[in-house]
Amino acid sequence: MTYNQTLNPSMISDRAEILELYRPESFRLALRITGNPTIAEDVVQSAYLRLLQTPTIPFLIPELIRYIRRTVTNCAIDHLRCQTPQSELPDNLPNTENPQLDLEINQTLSQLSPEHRAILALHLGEGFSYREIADTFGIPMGTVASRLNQARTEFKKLWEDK
Amino acid sequence: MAERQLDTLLTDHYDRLIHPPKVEPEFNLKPALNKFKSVISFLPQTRPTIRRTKPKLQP
Repeated sequence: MTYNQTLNPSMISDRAEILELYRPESFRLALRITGNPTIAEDVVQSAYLRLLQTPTIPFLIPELIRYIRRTVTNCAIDHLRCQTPQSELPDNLPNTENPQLDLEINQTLSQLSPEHRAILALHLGEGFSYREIADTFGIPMGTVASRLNQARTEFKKLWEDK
Repeated sequence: MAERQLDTLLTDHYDRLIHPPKVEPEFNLKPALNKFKSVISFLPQTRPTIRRTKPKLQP
């Protein structure tokens, strides 16, 4: 199945196929937002359940991909809203060169609002441009820029105060 | 902290989350091999037995 193909909404198998194709990307996004592999798995699971239960889906595959991305991000934000910052700190961070630094960054990120964490992960982690983020979430580019600026300022303040 | 510095710090962190650096195994074969060599040097040297087959008789 190619990227620019049109999806037949009556074919559920097509939808399942696209969802499976984008599962690794969805997990990566969820992991960057939540910072915890176990929570990321849960987020992807609930996002995919939500996607499979949605009766109306975008016709074009690029739109569907944006739709998947938006659903995963929203599920991650919902999940983070229900968590207290302390309870979500992972014990199972992947092995990194400097685990202490990664733990400190993760702790600082966990104190940010879920929306700010998501926008930082989308822009700095996934490398999406302002335009791509704006198109995915249906918000103006100015809003993306201002949220990103707020997120950076909040992170910087917490990082320097610690 | 400058904005670019902050962006680099976070970008690197996000990359490490997804692609943790590979840790080389600390197991080193050389000491084990040396020990094995020292053990077999004490074993009695035996000549290999050569099994001779009977020469085929010419008709």
